[in-house]
Amino acid sequence: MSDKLPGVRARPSFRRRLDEFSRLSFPATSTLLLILLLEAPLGLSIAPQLQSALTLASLFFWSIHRPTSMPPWVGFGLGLLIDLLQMQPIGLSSLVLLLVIGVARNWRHDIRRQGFVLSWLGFALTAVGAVLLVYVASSLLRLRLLPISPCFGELVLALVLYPSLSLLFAHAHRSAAAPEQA
Amino acid sequence: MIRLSIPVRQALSRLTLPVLAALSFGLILIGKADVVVEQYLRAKLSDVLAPVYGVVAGPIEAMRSEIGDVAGLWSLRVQNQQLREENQRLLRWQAVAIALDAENSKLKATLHWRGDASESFVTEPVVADTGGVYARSVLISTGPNSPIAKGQIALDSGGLVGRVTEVGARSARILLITDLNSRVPVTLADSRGHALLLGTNGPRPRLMYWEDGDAPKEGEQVVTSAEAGAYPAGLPVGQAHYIGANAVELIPDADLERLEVVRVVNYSVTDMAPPEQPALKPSQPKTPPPAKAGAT
Repeated sequence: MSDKLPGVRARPSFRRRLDEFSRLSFPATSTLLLILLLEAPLGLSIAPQLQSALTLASLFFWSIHRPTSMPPWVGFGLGLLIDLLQMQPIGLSSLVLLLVIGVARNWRHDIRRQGFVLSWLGFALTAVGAVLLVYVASSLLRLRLLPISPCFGELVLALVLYPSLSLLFAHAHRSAAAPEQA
Repeated sequence: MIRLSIPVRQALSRLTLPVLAALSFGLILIGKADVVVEQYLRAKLSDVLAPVYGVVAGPIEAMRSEIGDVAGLWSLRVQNQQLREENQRLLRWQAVAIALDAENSKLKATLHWRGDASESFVTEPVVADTGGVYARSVLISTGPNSPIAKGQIALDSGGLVGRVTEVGARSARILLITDLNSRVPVTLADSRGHALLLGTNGPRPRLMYWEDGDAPKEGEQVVTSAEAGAYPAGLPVGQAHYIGANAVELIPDADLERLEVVRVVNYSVTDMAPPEQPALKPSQPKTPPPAKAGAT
């Protein structure tokens, strides 16, 4: 960022650094707040699926467009939180979210060049992989075949919501999550 | 801060992802081998979140009831008519209930019936819906010196909700009867046959393993059974509903999708234990199965 330009400049003020930090941490904090919000008793029967789907979409988008704002340890932490809240084996969601981050970072240059449809397709592939992995691992760890319908629900939600979410995120990407505008 | 050269920093940042992934994998294995850590962490997190959600629950509830009120205005006339009819029907049933209650207490007096185990209860608000994609549970907020303990039974105004599985300092988790791990021994109210209620993670648990010739009837009331000593007998659970030739679901009496307040009841089943029975194993749980008082 600012390190790339040569020259002497003044040490940024405290307020400026705070602003920069809040913009830098926007992706992580917004995802965290979404997860916590969906945990409240809203009377939504699809809340858990929505929680997982939104986390997947958010991590995928930010890993492509602002990887510095979505470092692996954030994915790890969010995964732990989801595992604790959703009564899943601890570490499972962390592992899956880290894999999502890894995949998204790998594809990031191709996807940014190509535009929205490819990014949706990439997300669809990643989401199918992530949801299937959670399903298979949960079934294995409980030594029991779990019902597959909730995982379809999660997948459908993720795919349907991704376009509108990425619109929102893209808006934030240029405003609330842009540290260079601090 | 330690200044590292750029190649070292790059190498480190490339390493974090695999290292964290390996750590996650290790956590899964540790969690599989030892559930104590997992339960401790969950209870700690619940303790932190319960007061927060307790504060947020007020506005959320207000919003939900506001929406409900506005929606209710449209159907006020129809609802009023329905309520009048229902009220009349209920008044008739009330007369029947009073008569039966009187008869029941007379019969109990003649039989020297010992009565049900003593019970005490606390009512707590549901603050978070902690179910996951593969689990059904709710979190209740409790006071610091709450008498709630593991294994106690939660009911709402309709019927059985579930059992307390984790207790923290300010919160407790209730595993709902719809959870995949939930197994409730039940009695079919009409035939008095026994069956088992299995959670499926769906909104309606399955009714299975009834005895030959005791197949549940459509709409038959299902109540808990005292077998295995986990539940007191006779708590309302729901109604049987056929979805196939031999597939019976249960429509829960409790409103499990929208739990707001639950009553956690401590049925001290120990009162029912036969006196001076030598323990078979020293490590036996403190709540021996209740005496089979009257098989029917």
